[in-house]
Amino acid sequence: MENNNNSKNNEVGAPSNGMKSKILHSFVISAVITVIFIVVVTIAAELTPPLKDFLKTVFYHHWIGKGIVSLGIFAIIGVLCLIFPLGKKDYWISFWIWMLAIAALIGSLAITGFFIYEALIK
Amino acid sequence: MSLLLQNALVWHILLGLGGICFFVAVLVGLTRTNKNQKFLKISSLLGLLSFVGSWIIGGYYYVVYYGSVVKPIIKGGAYPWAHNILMESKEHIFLFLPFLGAIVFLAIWLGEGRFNKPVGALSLLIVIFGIAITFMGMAVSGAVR
Amino acid sequence: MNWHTFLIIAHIIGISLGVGGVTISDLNFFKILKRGKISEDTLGLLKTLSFAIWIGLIILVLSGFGFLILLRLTRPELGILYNPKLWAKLTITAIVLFNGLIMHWKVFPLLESSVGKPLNSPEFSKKAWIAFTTGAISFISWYSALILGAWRTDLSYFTIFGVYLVLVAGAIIVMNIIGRYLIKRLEKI
Repeated sequence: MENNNNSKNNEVGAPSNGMKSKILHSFVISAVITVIFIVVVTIAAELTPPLKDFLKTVFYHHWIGKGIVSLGIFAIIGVLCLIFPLGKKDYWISFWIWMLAIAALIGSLAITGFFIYEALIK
Repeated sequence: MSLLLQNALVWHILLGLGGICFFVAVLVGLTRTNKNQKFLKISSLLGLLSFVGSWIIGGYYYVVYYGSVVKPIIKGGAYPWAHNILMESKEHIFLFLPFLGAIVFLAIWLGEGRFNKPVGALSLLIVIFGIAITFMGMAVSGAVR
Repeated sequence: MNWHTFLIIAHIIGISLGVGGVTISDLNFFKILKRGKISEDTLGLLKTLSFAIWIGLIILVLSGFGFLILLRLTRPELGILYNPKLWAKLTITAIVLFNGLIMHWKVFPLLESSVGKPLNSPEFSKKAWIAFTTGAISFISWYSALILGAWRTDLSYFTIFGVYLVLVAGAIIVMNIIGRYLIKRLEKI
């Protein structure tokens, strides 16, 4: 079994391995934005029927549209962040992974809460 | 339901469960004192592929069959909330999983073991979402009577 | 052999690995406490049993859901997916999963750091409650899943889960009392 201990120096803020860290950093930020987009478009499409109809017209089904657009956002923002000079410190990569977890958790509660509200309270 | 659609439903569920199992394996791997990077890499890759497979196949079933045949039965039956709350939540929260899975995969393959704590937290969230989505799916399926 | 039979057999294999693994693990753990120390070999055995239990859980979950899918597609009128006993079993299985993760996160590192050292050390004594508690939850949960699988009952979800919680609470108390007693006994030797 490979022995792999966390390098405490890297956790504190020393620059880490160039391109690999940049790719990871870029796509973590992209994932955070994508998750937020999914939440926003889900709620917006329910509240704004023309948006849902637009997605249905262009992509055959609104859910397919949300999926494809999310993939597009993830890819495009990920690549854009690669071009943009982001820091390579492990601290910020860790920070964005934590932010992704928090965004996903809050997002899932928001989506569920919204549909409960629409179904039972409204 | 045609044989193709039955298979789509079955594989959607099995691949989803498989994805959960692989991310549980990632979690177990991350708790080890001597972490096996090969094990973590393979588990995260297979987990991501499982979720993507479940997404595509489930999407096919959802778009082709669920909306036109199953949804009206549920909405007109004794448990309309099964669609209005559970299915609506499930189909949108499920969209998170491939992206969360992709980040766990990238962090393990590119991170060289430097981000075990946040990756562990993200993997745990994936497992929790996966289980919740599974339970919601069961409740939706059971409402078809 | 049809799918139904295959899935039942797989499910039985899964539960056997889980219940058997947990029983032997817990017995071994108390044997370790009586002896007062843990060796590399014993830790290795516990890890092997843990691996078998995880395999059992995976087989159990996949075969269980396979069974549900089969019934859903062939006999939807049974309404099996809204059966309260099924939901109690699923909840308990989820608890088995998360409890197992906690064991790997907290208990195995504790045992690894205690290899070759006396178990009445302050470090082990302070953290041993995690081992006793997760062991109790694991033991009751696996046996509950086994019993619920075999027992035909019309009890509600809340009744079944309520009884389960009482049993878990009782087991946690008993395991901690016995465990503490064994550790204190080591201090007197």
